[in-house]
Amino acid sequence: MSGGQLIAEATITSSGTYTITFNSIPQTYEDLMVIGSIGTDTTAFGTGIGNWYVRPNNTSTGGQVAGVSSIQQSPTNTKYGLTEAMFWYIEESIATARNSSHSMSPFYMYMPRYASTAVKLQALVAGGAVVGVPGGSSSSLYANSREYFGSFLFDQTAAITRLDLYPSHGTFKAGSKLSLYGI
Amino acid sequence: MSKKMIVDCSTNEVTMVDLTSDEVAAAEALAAQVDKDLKAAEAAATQAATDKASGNSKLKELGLTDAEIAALVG
Repeated sequence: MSGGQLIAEATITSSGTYTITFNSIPQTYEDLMVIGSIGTDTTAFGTGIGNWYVRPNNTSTGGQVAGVSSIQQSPTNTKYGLTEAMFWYIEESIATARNSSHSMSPFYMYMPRYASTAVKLQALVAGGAVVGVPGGSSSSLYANSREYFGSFLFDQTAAITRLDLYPSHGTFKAGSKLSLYGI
Repeated sequence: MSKKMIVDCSTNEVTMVDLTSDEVAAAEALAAQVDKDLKAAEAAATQAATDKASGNSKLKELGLTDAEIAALVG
């Protein structure tokens, strides 16, 4: 069994970057994986809630969310039928506004058979952040957790050659980093 | 001016490009839509909680215990 190979890295060294684009993705692997830790500089909300998105092949017409569940105070907030995959609760603005000692939100996305032109891409996504104070009550921690987990369907049989990732509010914080692996 | 970080996976070259005016407008529209969606979701959650409390109160007025209400509505 062979291991994964790092294809490319995107490291944000200063604020002001709205979009991270992985372009000219090689078609020589079976699967793709994006891992990293991300945050934004938004203070748009009191609790800093925002979304973030991935757009395959720079098209806004071919992708849709099959189901992404986000967990906050209510069990699920699920979105359907979007034109591009959406993941809720990117890290918030917690690193600057609330818990400056925390690292940024971990993120994971797995895209099997990304180079296929015979089947539509299904991707698994997961990520989140806990912003509660350690030692606080369980209800407090629950209310201050932001997680998402789910999958999305790219409703085309095109091979994935490009991925654009961007937040709904603000820009990526310095220190955000995404790594693209081929498997 | 917000920028795009473009990573060319074939060369590992990284370039920073300013967003176009259209892209800036799209970003602002997206943020506004998300704001609107979140406010609507919060309003719906608040209304649901109000309705639940009201329903529970009416059931109690009918003489049901908390355990009986819980058994009914889960």
